[in-house]
Amino acid sequence: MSAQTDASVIALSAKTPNAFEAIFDRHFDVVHRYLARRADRQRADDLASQTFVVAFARRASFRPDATDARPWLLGIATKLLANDRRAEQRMLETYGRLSGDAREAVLPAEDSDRDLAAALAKLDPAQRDVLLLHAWADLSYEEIADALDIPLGTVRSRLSRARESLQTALALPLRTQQEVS
Amino acid sequence: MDDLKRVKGFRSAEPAPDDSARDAARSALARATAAEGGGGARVTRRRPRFRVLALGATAVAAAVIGVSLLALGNSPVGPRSAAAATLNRLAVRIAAQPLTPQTGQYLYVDSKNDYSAFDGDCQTFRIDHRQIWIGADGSGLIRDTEGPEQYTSAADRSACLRQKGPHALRSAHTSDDWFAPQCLSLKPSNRFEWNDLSTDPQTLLQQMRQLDGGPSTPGEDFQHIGDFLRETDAPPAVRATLYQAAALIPGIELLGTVRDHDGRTGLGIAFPSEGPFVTPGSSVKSELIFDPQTGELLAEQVTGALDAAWAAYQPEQVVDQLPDNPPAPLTPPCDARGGGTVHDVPGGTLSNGAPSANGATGAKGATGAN
Repeated sequence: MSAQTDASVIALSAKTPNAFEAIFDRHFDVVHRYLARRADRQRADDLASQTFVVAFARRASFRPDATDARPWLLGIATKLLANDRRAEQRMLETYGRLSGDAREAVLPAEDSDRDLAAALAKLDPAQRDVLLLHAWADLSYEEIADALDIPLGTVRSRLSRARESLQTALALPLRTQQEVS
Repeated sequence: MDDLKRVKGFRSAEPAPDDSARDAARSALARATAAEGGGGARVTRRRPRFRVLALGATAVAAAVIGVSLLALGNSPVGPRSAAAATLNRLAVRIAAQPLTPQTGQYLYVDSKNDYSAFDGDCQTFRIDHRQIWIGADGSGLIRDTEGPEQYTSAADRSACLRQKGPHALRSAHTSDDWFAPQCLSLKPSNRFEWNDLSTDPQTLLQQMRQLDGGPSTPGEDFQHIGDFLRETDAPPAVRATLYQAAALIPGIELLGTVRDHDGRTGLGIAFPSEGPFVTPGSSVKSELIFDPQTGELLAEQVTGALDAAWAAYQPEQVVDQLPDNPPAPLTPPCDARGGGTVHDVPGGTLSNGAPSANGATGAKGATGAN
């Protein structure tokens, strides 16, 4: 089983539903970690669980030529997150408002970038989805397109606009279109 | 630091999920697979029982067997001499069966399986009609006609609605899996060839334990026998040895003439079993029912358990042709599904890159309705 691709395991699960548990074993931690960066811990636990239940129910939609299920799963996770965008918004805004002392007291150093949190909170949610799938889940443009069912050009444009907004908000020098994409 | 690096570093210290979160999510998924797969998943906490179709040398595919015999090694009950004598007589009869297809022919295997699904208090079931044609060259077709999911009773319907709210039951569905030459076999494991198995019954028991990796209890041995006999393309001589091996298992008992879910009578051999849905102290048996004339396995059933389940097998036949032509040419090498194509009927979905051939098998949806 370990040598099988995700696609073959998912195909197998059409007849043997339990086989899908191998997909869980391979990808749960990655999906959870992505969600845990975008939601509080409790919500990440719930959404990660939901992601695999939804993925199992929709496994017939998995493209058999897409060997890696990770983009597909992260796409489902992202869509589940979208059901309550306000929660992520609130979390980011809270991070952005924390004073220096409070921030250092409750957040690890990596999370203490208040300006970035505020900038992320202001992003268009669709742009934020693309940006964070790229930055936090290491998905390629093509994988993001697959994950979110959007054209590749849309991925590029959303990522470009997201980064442009961030650079403006963070007072970073704007990059050329070529550098951004 | 550029913007992307700052984003990458933000909240990067999030730890891995807790074991409790992972376990809860795994359980939620297991409930989902159990609801769809019936018996296979609902016993996973003990030991999942699968019917594995060995696809070529390297590929593996599995199909959940509706009957999950959960025999967990109870202490032997009663003398086994009558059961052993019956099995040895059946071994002689099965060894004489003309079940091996010649070049250009196919072994045809036909079964009905009860797939019961439990999700808390919500219990549903469906009857699955499985038809398999396997050629002497290892090519073939598996046609799986799932009956509509149904509530077991009005009370169960109420329980399901109470627990899950409005929800849709699965509708009937047929799928065809086509296999290129050398890509299909019905062994319960890829780790052996039929002719690797010993014709010494005691040695065969040991081999089955090694292949399965399970505990070597009498209950497991009895379960292995069922795993190797159902939906099988084992040569008659191997089947005969399996019967002789079953005769060596302490705790088996002869039930005499029993009736299966198709109303047919046969000779029943049983082993006491346990399961997660068994009321303590109740008498639960895993039964294999054999045709007394041919020696073939007629049926399996678990009786006396809340998760009672059954499968009924038609006599295997050797036929000269497939029921249809494959929707696309099938050529090795075998891929993960067997080098063939999968055709959901209706819907016309072909996978594995084969060209679409909508309509080529469109009439199959009516096949084998239960």
